[in-house]
Amino acid sequence: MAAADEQVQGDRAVGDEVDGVERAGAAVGDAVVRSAAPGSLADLYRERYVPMVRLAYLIVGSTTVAEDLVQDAFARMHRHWDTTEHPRAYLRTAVVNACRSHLRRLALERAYRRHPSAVADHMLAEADELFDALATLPSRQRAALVLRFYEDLSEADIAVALGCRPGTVKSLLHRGLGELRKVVEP
Amino acid sequence: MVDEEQLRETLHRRAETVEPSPNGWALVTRRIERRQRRTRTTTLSLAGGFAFAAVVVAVALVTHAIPETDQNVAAGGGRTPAFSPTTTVPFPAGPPTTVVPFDALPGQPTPGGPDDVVPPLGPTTIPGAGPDTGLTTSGFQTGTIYPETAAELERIQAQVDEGHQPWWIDPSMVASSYLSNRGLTTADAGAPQSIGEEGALRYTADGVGGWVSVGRLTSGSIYYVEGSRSDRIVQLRVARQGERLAVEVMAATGGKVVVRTKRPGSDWNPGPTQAVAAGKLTSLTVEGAAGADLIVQVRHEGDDGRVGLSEERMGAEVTSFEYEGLHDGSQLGPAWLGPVRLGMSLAEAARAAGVATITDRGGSCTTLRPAGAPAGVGFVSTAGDDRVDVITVGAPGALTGAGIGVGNTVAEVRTAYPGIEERLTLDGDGQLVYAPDDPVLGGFEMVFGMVDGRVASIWSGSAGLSSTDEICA
Repeated sequence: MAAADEQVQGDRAVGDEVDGVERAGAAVGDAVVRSAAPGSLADLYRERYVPMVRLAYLIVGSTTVAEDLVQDAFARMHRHWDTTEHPRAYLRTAVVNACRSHLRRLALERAYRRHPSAVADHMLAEADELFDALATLPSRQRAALVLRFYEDLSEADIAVALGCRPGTVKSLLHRGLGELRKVVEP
Repeated sequence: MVDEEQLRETLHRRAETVEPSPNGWALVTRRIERRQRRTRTTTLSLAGGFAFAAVVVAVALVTHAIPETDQNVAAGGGRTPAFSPTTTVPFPAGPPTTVVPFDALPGQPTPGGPDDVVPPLGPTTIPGAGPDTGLTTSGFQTGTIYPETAAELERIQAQVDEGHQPWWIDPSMVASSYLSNRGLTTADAGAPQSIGEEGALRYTADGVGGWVSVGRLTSGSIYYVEGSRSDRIVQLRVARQGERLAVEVMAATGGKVVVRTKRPGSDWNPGPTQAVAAGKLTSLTVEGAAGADLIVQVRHEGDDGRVGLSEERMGAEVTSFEYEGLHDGSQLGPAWLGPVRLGMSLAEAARAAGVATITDRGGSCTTLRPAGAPAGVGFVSTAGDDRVDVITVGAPGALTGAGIGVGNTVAEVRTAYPGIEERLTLDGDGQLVYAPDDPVLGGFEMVFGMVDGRVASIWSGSAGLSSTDEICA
């Protein structure tokens, strides 16, 4: 880990090490970013890897896939580290986008394959009515609900993460909860 | 009762069960190293590519002089201007490209029962009349459009056998000569690799793409042109109706269509002209076609001034023809891929595709796929009514009318579709959404799925498709 730390930190501009507080202060509305910005990708990994894997798991429903997507998000971040002002928010958006892209591809694969997807199998295997119902929602609704009720983000921050308007987030949350109620309380 | 607190509790409880593997950081750093290696390799490849291109250009400049000389020493000259000794034949400049029909790709089994396989549509002949092979005593087919007669073919073959006009054994140059003869002066056609005895060459002329089908009798004989089609002419059907030819045309862009016919070896007869709208089927009628061996030319003159040409020969016994089936270079539009259009039933789509197809059911979708097509190419019915409402392309091959396909960059898409709606992350992931500003196609959109700044997939469907995350959930 130490060697990896040095490798990643070595790629980072020295100046970035001292402006962390200023960059963190600029992250309006992001509760996590109110603390000092991580000094290196390795710092960010130590702080956010497990929460991000769990966030991704709640959206895609598979620990293996979640880890894969989050690791890829970290690897992509490395390329943009010097220019990323709000690393935590950037990472979360990257993870949510990766999850949604994964679900889109999965939907396409489902269209071409006769076999049910691994994710569907996984979710059906674990009896949890509400969580299973969540898995039936369109990915954007699912992501909005997870960001709101797991990450406790504001509608404005969810809008940033999903790349949509705050009004759309409100609608996604409302419809998502409505759909869950329909499934759980038919 | 599902309340917010219950959902919050469920999510946190489920999340707590997830314990990521302890070697996550090692896997992240390995990915970073892989990406860095890939970047270096790409840079080296590009540098190598430029060097190779420079060599190719240098060689081409030297070798291009040879055929020009050979053309000029040709004796006699043909009936058409392109056969004359002074004709300049454009040289191919594009990358080598050949057509491989979906159902001809090797190693692609066709799962499903016989009901899943729809035989391709071909020319229809009068019962009992037999196919229009038109074989002469020397074996040349007269079902060609350039040269048009067996006598002309034999004459040119004799010249080539004596060492003149060797470019007739180069299919790309024969295709270019044909296009030049038809007035498409800036044509260039793909290199001759993999053509063999017959095949089709991709070309661009004045910015419009298309295909020229070529063939030859044996490995030593000259090539001739059997037909052509333009990307701008999306669909074409021609049928004899008594004394007339009934022509149905669909063009990718607005403009006008001119239909001309000629008997082989004669001059063109003037034909009808009609304005066409993008994506709309238009009918025209050509008089005086009873029982004649005709070359039928459909010329599309777009509103942008660009010309597309589709040409076929219709032997005396042939009662109708329509475009060949879907192929891996079929044009993708907001509402079609090649001859298959949104709104068709799956059965209609299979017939229009003209190649063997597989029907696949998954999730809430039924998908029709050309047998052997690359993964991701499909016609999807999401509404349960067995009508195509989404077309997907996830592999290189099919291009949009603006020349964009899987693999193009964000910048290239932006250039091809100025003002396209962008929904991208800093990584270049996300979507680019093109909504045509056209009264006919206004209800459709094309969604370019971007990964790492390149087109990874293209979906065509009704407006709003881009906000649909899971079309088959």
